[in-house]
Amino acid sequence: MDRNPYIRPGLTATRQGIPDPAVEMECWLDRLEEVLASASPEPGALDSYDLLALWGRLQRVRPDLLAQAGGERETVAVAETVARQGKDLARLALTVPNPAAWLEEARTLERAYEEASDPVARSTLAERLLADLDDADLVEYAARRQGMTDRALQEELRACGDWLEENAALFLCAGVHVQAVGMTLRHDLAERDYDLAQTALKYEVILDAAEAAEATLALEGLPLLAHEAVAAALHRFDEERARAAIVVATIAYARSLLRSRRAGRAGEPASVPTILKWAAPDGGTAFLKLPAEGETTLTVHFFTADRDVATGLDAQRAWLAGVPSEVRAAKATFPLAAVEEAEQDLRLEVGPERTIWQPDPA
Amino acid sequence: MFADWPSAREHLRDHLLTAPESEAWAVVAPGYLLLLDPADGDARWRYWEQVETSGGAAAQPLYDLYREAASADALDARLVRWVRVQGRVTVAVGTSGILMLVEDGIVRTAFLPGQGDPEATRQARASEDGRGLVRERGMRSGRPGTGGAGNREEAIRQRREAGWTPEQRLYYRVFRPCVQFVKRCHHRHRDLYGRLLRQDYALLKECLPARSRLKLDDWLDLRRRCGRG
Repeated sequence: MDRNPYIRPGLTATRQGIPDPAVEMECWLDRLEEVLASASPEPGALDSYDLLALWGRLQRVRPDLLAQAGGERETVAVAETVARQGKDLARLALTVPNPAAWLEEARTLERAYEEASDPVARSTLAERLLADLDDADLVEYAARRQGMTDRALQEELRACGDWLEENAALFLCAGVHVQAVGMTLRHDLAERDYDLAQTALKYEVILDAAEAAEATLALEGLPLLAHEAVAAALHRFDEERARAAIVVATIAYARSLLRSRRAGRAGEPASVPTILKWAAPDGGTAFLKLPAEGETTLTVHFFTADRDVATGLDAQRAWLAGVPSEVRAAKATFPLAAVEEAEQDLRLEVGPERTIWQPDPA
Repeated sequence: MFADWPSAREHLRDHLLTAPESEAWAVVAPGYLLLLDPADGDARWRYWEQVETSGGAAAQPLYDLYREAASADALDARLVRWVRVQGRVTVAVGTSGILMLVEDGIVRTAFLPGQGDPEATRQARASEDGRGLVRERGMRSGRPGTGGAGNREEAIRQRREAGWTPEQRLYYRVFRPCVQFVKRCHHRHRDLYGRLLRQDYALLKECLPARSRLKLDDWLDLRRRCGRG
């Protein structure tokens, strides 16, 4: 089978089977059923317009899809009506299209992007503009088939088509709709009826623009990562950063260690240290167990160079990240919230001179 | 139903008192016609002014009609299983064509979709008098110098619909546009890559039967099953 110019399997949404041509078909057939049901000896201009547009549209549709949607009855009925009243319908229908008003309205689509309006409102507007232009093109085509050529209208519609071609990217917000309409079109349209195929050019133009956009923004088109995968990657990044922070720290541990540790999940192997160690100039040491979820304090334990409990430091002042405390029973306790709010690295200072204890990650 | 009175009042203004949805509400709840003419922009405007000056009290009869209709459709939705729940959001549609969105047990909206262009509604509200909407605009507004589509179209439509039964009017004027709206959301609520921009109304597409199983007779059967025959 020839390549169908209206179906682009490379487009992400098409590849994922999202556009549903049946949705478009059902809406067209519903409208046609309504117009046919209201047929009267004195048809209105808008009904005539819709009827001719729908007749033309169904000429473009894949026969298998039409059968699947149960639209044979309407197709036959509209063909009979057009054969019987075509000229009258065309005369009335040609009083409806206003290409100048369409162009004016189309410019609001341009503004809709500039104004960062609601994306759904934007895609609805784009879809309607597209359908409105398509209706007009189809009516002009149908009228021509009835021997009623309106040169002025042809020119005006060509100007609309040119505008659409120049601004095809504006219609990408209705890209899924365009892909669905494309799927309704028969692949051999140009061979069967060149003039009718011209009315479908607008969809080809937008499909081309969609392919170009996806190629340009290839990264955007990649499948989204699962939330869990993103969270795991972020977690690993935090761990790496924490380890790096330990290596580069000279006088303090990075405060991000607090967050990394608390963000760790229960049961996970801890690649982030659970205990921070400092060394005093006299060989003494201090240890801090990083808090687990739910804990509200940080306690630094002091030891002498001989690994005894450093009660000799009792009653001295100690600072962690600039937050003060007092050593009691060789321990200094700091409120976790105060340390976090200090937004400083975990520098440990002890005694009246505020001697800085060196991080000792080994 | 709503979180508060201002939300309910706003809803009455934007849906029941704004054309063309106002006319569809009169089809769903015929009692509307006893309160005001939904097609008369001035009448709707006067009603709204009364609502404002009475601190909302004047809106009670209209609100009661609205609540009754929405509740009946919510029951239908449950019976025919035209309901979808995702997270905190529940979307449902009843056999009258009232589309409902409930979040955390509070009605966010209950309206008749497919009755008009929301953008046109917004523009009309922003206009000087805000008293109604043009029926057609843009490409379909009529070819200059030909008389175009105007009041004659409306007269033809009214003559045609005069022969309809109330059920036919509800089916063709309200229910079917609603179904089309819901199905079209499947495409409209997505970006170029097919990712959903909103997960609300589009969720219902899979619940609703295909067109071939939702013809007038099928719909009448459903209405009977819901005790609305």
